[in-house]
Amino acid sequence: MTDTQHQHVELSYEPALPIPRGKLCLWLFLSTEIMFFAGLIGSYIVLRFGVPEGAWPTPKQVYLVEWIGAFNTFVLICSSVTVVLALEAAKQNQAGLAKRWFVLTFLLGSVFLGIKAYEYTQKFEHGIYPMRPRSKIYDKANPYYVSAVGSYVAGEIAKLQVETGRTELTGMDQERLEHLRAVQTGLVNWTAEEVALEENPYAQSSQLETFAYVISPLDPDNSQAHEFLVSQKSEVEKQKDGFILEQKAKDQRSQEINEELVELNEAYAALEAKAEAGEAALTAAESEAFAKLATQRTELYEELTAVDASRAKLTQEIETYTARADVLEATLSSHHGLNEAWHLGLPIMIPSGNTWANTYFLLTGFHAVHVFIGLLAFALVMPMKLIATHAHLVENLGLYWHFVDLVWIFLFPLLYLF
Amino acid sequence: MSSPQNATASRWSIPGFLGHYVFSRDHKIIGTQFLFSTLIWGVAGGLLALAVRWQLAWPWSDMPIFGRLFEAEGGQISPEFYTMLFTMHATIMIFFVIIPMLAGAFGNWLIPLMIGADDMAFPTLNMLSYWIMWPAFILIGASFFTAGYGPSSGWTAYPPLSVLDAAAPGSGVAQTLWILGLTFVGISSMMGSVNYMTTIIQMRAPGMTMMRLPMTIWSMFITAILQAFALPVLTAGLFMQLSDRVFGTGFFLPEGLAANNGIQVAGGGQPLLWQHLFWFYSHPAVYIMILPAMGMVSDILACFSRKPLFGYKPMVYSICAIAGLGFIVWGHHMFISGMDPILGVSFMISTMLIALPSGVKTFNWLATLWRGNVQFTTPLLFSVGFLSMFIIGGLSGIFMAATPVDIYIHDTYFIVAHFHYVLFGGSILALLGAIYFWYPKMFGRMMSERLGKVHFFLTFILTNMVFYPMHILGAAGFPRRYADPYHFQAFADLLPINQVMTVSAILLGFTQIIFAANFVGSLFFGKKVGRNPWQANTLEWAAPSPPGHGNFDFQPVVCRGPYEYSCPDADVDFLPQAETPPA
Amino acid sequence: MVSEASGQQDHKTNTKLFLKVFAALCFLTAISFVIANSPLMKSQGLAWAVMMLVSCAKAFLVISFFMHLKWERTWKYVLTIPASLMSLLLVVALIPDVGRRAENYSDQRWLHATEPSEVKADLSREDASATGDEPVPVDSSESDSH
Repeated sequence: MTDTQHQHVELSYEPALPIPRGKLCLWLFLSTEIMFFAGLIGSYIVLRFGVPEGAWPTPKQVYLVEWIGAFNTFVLICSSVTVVLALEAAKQNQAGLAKRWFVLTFLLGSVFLGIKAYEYTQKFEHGIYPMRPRSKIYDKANPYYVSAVGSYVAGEIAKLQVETGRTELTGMDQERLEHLRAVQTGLVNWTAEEVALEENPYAQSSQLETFAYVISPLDPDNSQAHEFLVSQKSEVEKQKDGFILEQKAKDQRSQEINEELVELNEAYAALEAKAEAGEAALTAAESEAFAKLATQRTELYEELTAVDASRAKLTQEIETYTARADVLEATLSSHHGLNEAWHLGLPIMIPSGNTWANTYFLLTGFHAVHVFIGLLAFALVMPMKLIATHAHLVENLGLYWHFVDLVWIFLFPLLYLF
Repeated sequence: MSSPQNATASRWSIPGFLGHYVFSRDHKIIGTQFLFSTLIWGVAGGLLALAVRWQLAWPWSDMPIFGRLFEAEGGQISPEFYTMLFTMHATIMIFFVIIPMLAGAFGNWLIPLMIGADDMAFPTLNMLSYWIMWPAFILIGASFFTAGYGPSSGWTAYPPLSVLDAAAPGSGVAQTLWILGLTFVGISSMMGSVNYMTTIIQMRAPGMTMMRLPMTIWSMFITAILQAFALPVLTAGLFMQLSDRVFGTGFFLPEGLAANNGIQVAGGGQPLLWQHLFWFYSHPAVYIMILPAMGMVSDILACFSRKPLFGYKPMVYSICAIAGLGFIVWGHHMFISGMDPILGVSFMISTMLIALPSGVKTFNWLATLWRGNVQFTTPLLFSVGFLSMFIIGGLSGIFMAATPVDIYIHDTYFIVAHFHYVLFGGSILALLGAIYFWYPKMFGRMMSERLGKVHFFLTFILTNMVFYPMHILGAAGFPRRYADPYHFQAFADLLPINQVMTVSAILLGFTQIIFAANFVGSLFFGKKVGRNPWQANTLEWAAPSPPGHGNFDFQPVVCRGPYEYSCPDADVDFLPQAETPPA
Repeated sequence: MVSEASGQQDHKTNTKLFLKVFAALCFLTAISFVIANSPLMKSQGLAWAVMMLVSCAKAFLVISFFMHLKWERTWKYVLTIPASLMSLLLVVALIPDVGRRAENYSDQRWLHATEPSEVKADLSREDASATGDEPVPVDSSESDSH
């Protein structure tokens, strides 16, 4: 192409629109952005309103604080005003004033991101992540959820036990281990057993929902549920007391048997020694007594085995019922269930909680990315002198920034208030 | 070299080979870069197609090249490998060949030249739009060397096949690479389309009103709008699928997907959501792949019929109508997905409506040829080839628009016949014609007409021999995407037809060697040409061949429309849009 | 474009105008917030509609004043209306298949579907079968399309 180097002519054009190319390009880009967010927000809308009636978490259930969102809206609106004032100042060639508004916009954008980061950490603390291996949300109180809680608890116990092998557990760890064991027997195994024994699917589902409620209640102010748990607790305790009484009776019986056996054994041993030592056989009465003693002894031994077995079983039952009572006690003592009372971080059940997390993080995440890109652009323009000749830069940046604000204007009610 | 010239050069490129030919901001260099990249990818895509055909003609026999390259034992491929073959064939042909060749290569070359601009509105953005393609090239290329030898969920990437790692051998890393690659293609197209729109709106030469734009520019403009509005939705969908794959979210998978006694995915989503988002882009993408071809064919037909294009305004309006309707018909790809029946009916009606503007265009092309002083050059032959193939492909499209018929022929070779008639017979033939037509402008030399005609006739005949029988296969129910349909007794008799098609396909592949030889040979030995070898009217022919940086050595002032051929009052049979000043 | 020809006077009025718009935006945000915490939320559809209207009003303010579209020529319609219509179209077209998916769930699908959850306090194990409260909603339409 060397032979065609010709004298360059500055070509003139007939633009169709009375705006600079950069601004037109930016507006076209914003149109594509509208479609991008239409894809995201549209997916959110249909996914959210497509769930079965009422099966969408309320803000409280997912630790969403409305006023923080409202405040962030306010921050973004402020930043929109400041950037538009920066443009006004730049157009008037007041570079210093423009710079001040510009820096303020940048700061407000950073504040928005900071609040966003705070909100994210709030979610993470409660095990709400958009992704599966970390997310502790289960959509439905079903046996999968129970087994997930079970394996989580088993894993935590195993972790603590490995530590026990190495060092002495601290008091807190010891307490945690006890709590975990209580959950294992009093909640996971309890529910699994109840569900396995139950044939009525409605009762099964009721058991499973109680399970989920105990860990983290969706509606902590549900007085009916509270009463139900209170009554269940008193029932459990009543049964536990019954078991303890029974155990006491059995203990006593066992002791009695043992005492009787001591006597019997003595008599029996005397007769036996006599029978073995003396060639002169026992008298008829004696041998009758001997045989009677033998049967008595066998009977007593059998009874002892049975009593001991039921004692062991009762111990286990008492352990289970104690754990259950502990779990219910802890649940009732705190407003937000076991997870709040014992801080065990058990998997939680929130209907459509995963879809909520997915869409929430998708929408706010991409919005935050746009905010971040805007801040980068602000940082790039910052060193320039914002005089009238650079006003177009401020204008284009401002257009982008207003668009970001615009997206948030729709995201705020959709995510926080609906 | 005087100093102003250096200044001019630095506006488009920094000195040195790299700055001049690699990281150039000159739209012509970028267009050429797109052209060569897409031609090379075209070879890869064609080889993949031949591999697909091989399996269909001689199932499970040792496959040459592909079987030996990838499969360890001998050369026999696996069914999963076959699904990878057609997935990658479609992906490469659509995203790396047809779209970037039409919009990237010809869009770049022609838009500034035909509207009388010295370059695109944003040369650096233009350069980036090419270089953003490279991550895509690398990612998709790399997926051949991952587990499964590439993604294998089809170019439509329907979940759950594309989301669950264990669904298929190619659903692992390869699928992730595929999604990332497509995201880059999307960013590149978005940059390009915004740039094209700004250029066409703001940088037309004096006198070049919108209604004096050549059809090529109109179609490029509408294509850019289609890309700008449709692509972001796909990008959004791709991000969601990526996060489903990488983070384990559940936008496209329902809840309760359990295995190994545990819930495997977050769930809560809907597989149909992906299909809607995907086709919201990919149906307009079908028009992105055909509209520029239509525009270029309109220009070539008018030029070699030596007649004004019949019905310029209806042509413009019908392109707009096709684009507008193109946005509301995507559901016709999903008729058998279990979609809502009412939605299905509305999509059926809107799809049928597209036949109207398409018919307008077809009849206008025919009327342009009618009683024209037709010059049978290679570009014209290819354009006529496009026209005839597009009619066949378009008519078979109406079959599928009707839901009841579609339910029978969906996922059979009838579909394959349809879109190959439109995409190969349509877009590719038009692209070949366009290359023959604008080659002199791009490289300053003519391609051999004789070789070109041989190339055309062989290509045309063999194309029909490959793709026409697919209609028959499809009507017989021959399923697409099966590695071995002969496994079913009903299709066993269809093997000979498939063998004829495969032999034709291989010959068709060899025929392109003629084109390659012509293309490369003409770079060095082609007849040198002046500014306007075809005696065409549009502005690019007023610029030198090839144009230097800045394109025009005079200020073009447009005083008439683009198709003033055989004007009764004129001495010559063409009246260029702008008068070239005497040298 | 107006500000090109305008002087210091216009600048001041512009600033005043922007501050007024700012106040309006804050007021509208407050309205949304109040509605969300008011008894109006009991009839959700109405509350949602009002909140979306408020958002649209806010968007209109931002677009026309901050993004200066009030002062631009007709091209503003060419750029903004098609994009808005297209995005609406996309959402509307998603409704039948995705937005109403729960209406087509089969009995089998309901086993895995999420559903509103509450502890049925009156559901002790003995009288479980007696109550009519169904934890597993059964779709009466018997649709097996899934």
